[in-house]
Amino acid sequence: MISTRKLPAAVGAAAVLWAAAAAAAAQVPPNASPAAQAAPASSSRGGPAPAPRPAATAAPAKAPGAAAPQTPAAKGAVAAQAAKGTAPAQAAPKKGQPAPTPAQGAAAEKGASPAKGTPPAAATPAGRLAPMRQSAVDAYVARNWAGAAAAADAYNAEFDASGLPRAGVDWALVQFIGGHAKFELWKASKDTFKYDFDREVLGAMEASLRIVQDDLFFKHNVLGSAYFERLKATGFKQAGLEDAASWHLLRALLARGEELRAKPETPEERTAFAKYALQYIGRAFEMARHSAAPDVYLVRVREACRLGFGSPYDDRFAQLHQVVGFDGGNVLAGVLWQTGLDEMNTEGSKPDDVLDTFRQAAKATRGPKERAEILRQMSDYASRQDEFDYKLKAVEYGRQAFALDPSNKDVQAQYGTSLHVVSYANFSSGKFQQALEYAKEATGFAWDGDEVAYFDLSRAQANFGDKIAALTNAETAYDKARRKYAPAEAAPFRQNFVAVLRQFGLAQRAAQVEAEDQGGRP
Amino acid sequence: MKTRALMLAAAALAAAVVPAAAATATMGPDAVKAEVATFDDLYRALTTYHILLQGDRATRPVVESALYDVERYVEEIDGRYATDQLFVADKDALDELRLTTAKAHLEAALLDARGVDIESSVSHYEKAVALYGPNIAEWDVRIPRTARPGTLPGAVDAAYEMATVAEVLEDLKNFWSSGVMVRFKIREFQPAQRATLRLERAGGAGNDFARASFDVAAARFAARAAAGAEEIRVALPAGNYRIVSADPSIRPLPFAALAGSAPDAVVLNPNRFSFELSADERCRPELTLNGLPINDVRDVPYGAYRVVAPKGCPERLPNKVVVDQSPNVTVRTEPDRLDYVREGQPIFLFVTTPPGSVFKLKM
Repeated sequence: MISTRKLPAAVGAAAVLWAAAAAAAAQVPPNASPAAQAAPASSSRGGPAPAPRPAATAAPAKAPGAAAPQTPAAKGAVAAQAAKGTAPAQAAPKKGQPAPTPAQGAAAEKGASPAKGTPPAAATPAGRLAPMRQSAVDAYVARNWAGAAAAADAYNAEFDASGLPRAGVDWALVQFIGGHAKFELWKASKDTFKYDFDREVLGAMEASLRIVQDDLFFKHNVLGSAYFERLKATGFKQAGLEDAASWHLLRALLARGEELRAKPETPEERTAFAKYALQYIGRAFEMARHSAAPDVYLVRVREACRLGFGSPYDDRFAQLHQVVGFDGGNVLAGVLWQTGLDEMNTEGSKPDDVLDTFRQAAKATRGPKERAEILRQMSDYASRQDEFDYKLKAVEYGRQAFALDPSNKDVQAQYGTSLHVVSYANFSSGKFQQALEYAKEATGFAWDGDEVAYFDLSRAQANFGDKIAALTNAETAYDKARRKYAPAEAAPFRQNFVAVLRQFGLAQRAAQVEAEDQGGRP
Repeated sequence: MKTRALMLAAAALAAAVVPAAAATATMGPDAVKAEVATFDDLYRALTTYHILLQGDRATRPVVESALYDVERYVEEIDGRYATDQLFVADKDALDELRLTTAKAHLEAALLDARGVDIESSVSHYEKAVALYGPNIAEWDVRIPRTARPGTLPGAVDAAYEMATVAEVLEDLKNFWSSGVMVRFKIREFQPAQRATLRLERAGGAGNDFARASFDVAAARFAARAAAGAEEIRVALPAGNYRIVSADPSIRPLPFAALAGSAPDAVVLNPNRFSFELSADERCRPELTLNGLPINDVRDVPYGAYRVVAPKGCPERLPNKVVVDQSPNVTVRTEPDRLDYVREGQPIFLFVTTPPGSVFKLKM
């Protein structure tokens, strides 16, 4: 689209300053800040060295290896400089850089030398408002949120007292500054927040965007974040906030995607963009978990995935694209399942928390096979925990999964394995009755790997003197194992069979079995 | 020298007739191409919402959220097209953008109709017609009509059913036929009182579509009343309703929205009036107000009264008597003959009289 403002290109020093600041903040969307709007109309007042642009609240909190955005960020830094009158914005454009627009030139000229015959600047509303606007910009650029909010309030009071219609680029700029600054204050301390969030944060930024639609990525990101955080603070109860949050965050992505398409993008830019897409999806998942309309995220998340493809995170986007279609597009179940999987793979997660998320996912499913799949996952995860209680939980989840989808081989194997683990543990601790019961259950159905169940069963039965059953099952276990494994792997099964044979006085047969091992058996 | 002077003059003339903005700010070919691609992408994104408006998935919250997004996408396309008209000099490209915008509105009309927002659906259709032209039914293009989860290789996300514009318009007509555009006049109440007005269902089709469609209309009515509107139009599914208020001084007003009808405006007014029928028994008419019969003609609401004379009545009665207050009371009859009588006098068109009047229909 057509740019409404031509900002000077990056200058080396500013870019370096910006990069340092951005690296420190590590939360900056690669785009120009609202402060950029101050550039064309900046006065000639001097000031300290340029401050970094404010960090965007919407940047990915976990942007791994987030590099400082280069060109657009530097653009923002120059804009910030210009806002303070120290940037080379008023200097003659360098080769290949855009010349100042007429408005810029006029503003610069006016700041340097007021036209003859015009009243002193302070005597007019515009003259009184200009320094107030600048104060708001300065505080904002310095990330002095309280100062920026107060300056915006003062500006608005003066503006309204002047009887001017609430319009104009400057007015819109101050609305955004005030709205964003108050949002930051709210985040810092909700208890002491003294403003009307809906009107003075959301409303102010919305009003600004109606008039000035530049820096769309940055502005929609901040506004979307404000809607999202507000929604979160209300316990995800207001659908209006949810829709607006989703739209503004997605709109920011669309804007950034368009910016990148308009020029040859660097791999770093592409990666950073993909991280924003992932951040949006993360928030979308959070909203979907609490939404009255989770299925709408089928479309929203897939759209964000589509934007993110072509980056180093393609596998992740493909997974997320697929998971929202889980269970016939049951987004809530898919989101919960994926959340559980992510929690499962996050170091330090508490097993109970992970299982609780999976439990919610299972509850949200509609299809029995889908529910069985989540229960199988739960069984697998629980069985890998150290405490014995989790081994028992693994059995229970496996049992439930099997009841829902008995022909699923993965479910069968997980259920059977979990039973084997518990049977084995019980046997090892001398709880032969329990070992017997779990082993019986594990041999109650066919599953890939059930030779271990017959092994467990035969040992347990042998301990109770159940001669025939123990012999039969020990032989079955060995028979299955030797058909399946190499001799070395089948050895424990053979040894068990031999031991049971000897226990019941069948030494000759035991020797025969042992001999089979020497030459093998077809 | 003379040639040079002529060239300068020609150049000056050209500079004078060519708008400066057009000469300096038109988009280059690459930018135009990118813009066309962006339009296509936004349009594609818009069509993906079809899948949410099918079957059991289309719960009311899903529909509301989906239509929220649809509206934003269409606004985005509209906004871009409005700007592009200023800066895209390539007529063919601009035409392509216009047609994509028209398609977006057609899709939005379909989605709104499926989402039971008949009023928005009609509005989007009208915009599509404004962009394409009145012969839109002849537009030779196929657009997504519905979507369902895909099962085929390569179409696992969604499978779209494509349709001609004529078929899409047929779909729209079917959806719209279930709705009735009803106009409400509430200007005689103070804004604070108007803000208390609500629509309630009092009967009619009980299917999900009708209920959801009513919910949309009722929410829109409430929002417009709260915003201080003096006159409100909403599309309601056919059925019986009433306007109610939390303010006990405002009496509920029942009305019916009859399918396939163009109903008279429903007038809600704190003032009332009475009819006095002086006709002989052979001509005692049946009166209906807002689609519902009126048995007692005393202390009745303002509005449009339909008059049906019994068979055998030798007199010619008006078909309709409209008694309005805006701000003075007016009485108007259709046909506008002058041989009906008000308070012993012939009824004139647009006569004024104070509230509480008694109108005598001599028959």
